[in-house]
Amino acid sequence: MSTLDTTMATETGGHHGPAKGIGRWLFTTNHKDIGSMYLWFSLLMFFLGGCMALMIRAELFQPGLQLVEPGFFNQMTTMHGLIMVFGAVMPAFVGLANWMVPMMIGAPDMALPRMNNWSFWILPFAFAMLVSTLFMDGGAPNFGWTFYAPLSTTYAPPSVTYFIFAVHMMGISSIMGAINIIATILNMRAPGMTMMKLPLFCWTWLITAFLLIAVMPVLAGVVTMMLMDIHFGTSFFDAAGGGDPVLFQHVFWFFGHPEVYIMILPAFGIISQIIPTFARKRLFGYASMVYATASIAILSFLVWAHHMFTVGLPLAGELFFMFATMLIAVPTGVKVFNWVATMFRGSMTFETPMLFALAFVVLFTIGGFSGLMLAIAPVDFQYHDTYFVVAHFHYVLVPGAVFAIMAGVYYWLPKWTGHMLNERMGRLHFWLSFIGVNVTFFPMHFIGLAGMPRRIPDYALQFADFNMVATLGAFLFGFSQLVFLWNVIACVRGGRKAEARAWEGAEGLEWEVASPAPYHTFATPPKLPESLR
Amino acid sequence: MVRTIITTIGSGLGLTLYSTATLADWTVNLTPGVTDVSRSVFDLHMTIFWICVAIALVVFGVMFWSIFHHRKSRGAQAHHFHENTLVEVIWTLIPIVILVAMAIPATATLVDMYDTDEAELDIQITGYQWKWRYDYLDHDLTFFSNLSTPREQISNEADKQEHYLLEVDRHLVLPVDTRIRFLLTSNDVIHSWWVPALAVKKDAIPGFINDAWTVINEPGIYRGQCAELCGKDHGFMPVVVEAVSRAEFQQWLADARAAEQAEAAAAERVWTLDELMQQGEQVYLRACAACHLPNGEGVPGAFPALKGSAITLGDVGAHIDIVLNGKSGTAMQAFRDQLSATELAAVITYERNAWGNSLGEAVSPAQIARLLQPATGEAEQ
Amino acid sequence: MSDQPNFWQTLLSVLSSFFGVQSERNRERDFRHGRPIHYILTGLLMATLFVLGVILLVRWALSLAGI
Repeated sequence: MSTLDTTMATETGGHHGPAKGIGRWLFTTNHKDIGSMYLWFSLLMFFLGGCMALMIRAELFQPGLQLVEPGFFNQMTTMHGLIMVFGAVMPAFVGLANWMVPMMIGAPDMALPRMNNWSFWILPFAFAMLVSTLFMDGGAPNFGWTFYAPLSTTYAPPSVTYFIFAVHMMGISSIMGAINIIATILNMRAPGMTMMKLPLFCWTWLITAFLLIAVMPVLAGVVTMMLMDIHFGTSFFDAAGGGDPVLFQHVFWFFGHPEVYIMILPAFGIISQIIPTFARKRLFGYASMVYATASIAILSFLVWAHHMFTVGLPLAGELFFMFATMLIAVPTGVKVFNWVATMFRGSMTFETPMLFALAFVVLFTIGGFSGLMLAIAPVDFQYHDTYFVVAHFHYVLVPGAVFAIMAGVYYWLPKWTGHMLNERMGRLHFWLSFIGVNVTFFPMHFIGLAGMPRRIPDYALQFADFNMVATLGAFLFGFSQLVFLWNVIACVRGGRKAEARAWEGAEGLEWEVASPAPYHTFATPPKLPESLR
Repeated sequence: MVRTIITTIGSGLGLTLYSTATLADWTVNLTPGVTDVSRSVFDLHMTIFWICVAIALVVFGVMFWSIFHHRKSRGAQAHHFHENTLVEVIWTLIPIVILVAMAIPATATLVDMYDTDEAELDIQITGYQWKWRYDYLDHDLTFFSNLSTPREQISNEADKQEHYLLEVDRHLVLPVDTRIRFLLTSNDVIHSWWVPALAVKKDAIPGFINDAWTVINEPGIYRGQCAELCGKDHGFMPVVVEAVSRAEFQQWLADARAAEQAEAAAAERVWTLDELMQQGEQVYLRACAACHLPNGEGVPGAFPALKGSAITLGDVGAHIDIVLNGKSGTAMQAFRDQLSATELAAVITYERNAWGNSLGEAVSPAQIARLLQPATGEAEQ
Repeated sequence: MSDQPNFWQTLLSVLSSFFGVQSERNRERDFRHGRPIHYILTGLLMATLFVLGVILLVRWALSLAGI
């Protein structure tokens, strides 16, 4: 390790460091700078989307309309969903990939650094445009993040056109990011870093990138069809002109279902890096983990209509999608079993990243169980579009994807900043988040089963008590994220010096370079350390 | 968009008023419902739930056992196994067996739910922004069902009653022990008609017809809501089904049709401006105020103001036309089939004479009734 | 052992990827000696067969239900 460090230092010594001033960030082609920008951007969006969530929960604190009008409430649910999916979760994963993939495979940078810069810098403009719709006449998009036609076409506010353009830009950014990651992983691996040795985070991202390339054009297609219906007189989704509103849902969910795996597969990768480190034991069933990821990716294309069990599919269609959906439980189960088997007979410690990873395994699995329940079509008639669904997808996305991102950030912060995290503050953040997330989302199972539909600004009295609990939890969870912000800033500014191998059990090329990682790493391909050969 | 803080605080005090009434109501589970189908759905739900609980106990049990016993602080040494294909195949096959066991009853229930033949009673359900229309297809009876919760309760100016947001002006009355088929469609956007106690939830899609069926076993009042986001007042279009005995149902049908005829006769007599204004206000609050607001000021950029507008102050013919026929490509619906001639005349009169609009002229119900004549019996556009 | 995995071995590997479980030894063999195009083609074929399989299962279930 130390030899590698010194060679790195001498090799990079002659290189230029980062440019000065704002130009460093505007024109950078450095994967670390771009990764940081992605992560900060996603944190900003996380707080923006979070404020919207708190506005929703505040309105739902009690029955009756108190704070916002129903129209504005719908804008909040729509923007919250869009911003969290496209602005917070996806860019965070791309940011982590930018930082870590080249360091994990021993590459000097991403394969296509200029495109990398461009794919990031599209995002602030796309989201500035999306958020600007809030100030337009008629308000922001108010038709839900799933924007079902004809509510999003014939009956949409004028700002829908800006929304369509923003979605196109996000799609371009995602596709470029995905191409870059595929090109990097396939072409830039250090000698000896075969596909079989690829860290699981790289594997899951590689498969995610293929999913992105497959489905983002479908999203672009569906919003373009909307644009044509709104402005150019076509009738794709208008029955009066011979179209079909349900066609929209088929196309949307053909994108949408792989999209939900785009938001969870990289999380699986992060967790599969963290658990072995803190269990001080190799990942159980590495091969199966890769194959289960592939399996989930394949199945994700064959289950889209399980979001549409109540639209009146023919019986054969219902059965097809019910069977296919139930099968997804199998590879997902393989993953959970393997994580548990990794912990079994390990030597575990419980630093902040591990706490988040363990919470991920438990809470994501709970989300998986409710997913299995939702897969049973006849019962889904009762669950569909209720808070039970809201509870389900928040369990897989918040303590699922978001906890995995936070685990990843805490895990790699020492590598990025050169400082160890203040463990006490990390634990505080974890426990506040863990309690907050469960107090918020667990009661939603109950109010959903009791019959409360989703996306309503006001509700009948029998749902009042649990809604109040959920709102209290949401504020606890929301404000405890300020501790996260504090932790990150504190870690950037100072703290105990981190060693190259910041965690005792950590394996992998990224832990062979100094902490903080120099501006340029692996300018010449590294020799793989003993443990990776 | 943000109301005064005072309202918020006021409603905070209102908290005690309703929570005492509902304190015991921490409902945590699905309703078993009142039909055979809803019971088998409930049984499926409980079966899959307990299967999930059992799997969770095993998986989390092993996990927490490891967390407790295999921690470094207890001196645990890491073992070095990291693969066992046989074990993995076994723990992959077990879930498959469980899933197959689950799929069989689920398929049977689903097949049953899809068998919509041989109904004794056909009800067409049409979703409108934001109300339901019910057509008793073989009985020549049609009516709309609107939310009847007063605005003051929604805006926290009055105490909320027991069925807050789950009450309508006209119930969908259905007979028990009768095989009923629902035919669902929509006039504008996609809605979804849902009554948990019947385990019926089906999307109402413009231009398409979906079907579902039920046989209700017990008389009673069953409440549900629109389940698909359908715009601003999605949360304010409940469904209320009243199940009565077959004899009571026949009686109710006869009464409802007699009332319709009386209503038509009322259009023939002469109405004074005051009478029309009085009825017009009620109709306006029920049918128009959701978009144009009770004060007629609308929502800029979404729903135009009626106060001081060119239509409510301009030519009466154009005003009648837009109310009767709607404006295509916008949220303005055609009200010719939704309201009676008297109601239409009253609401148009009201719009022309309220909130400082003061033309002083009345639109007579008879005049509207003549305009409605040619369209009678036709399907609405 | 010949270097290139034969058709049955390729098929087995693709099926493992559908199932989600694979042994380390087979994976190593595949990545060391296999050619990606074989796996992609077999994968597409098996995906089609999988869809057809589920459709047949649905047909069978419906015929049992008498529809």
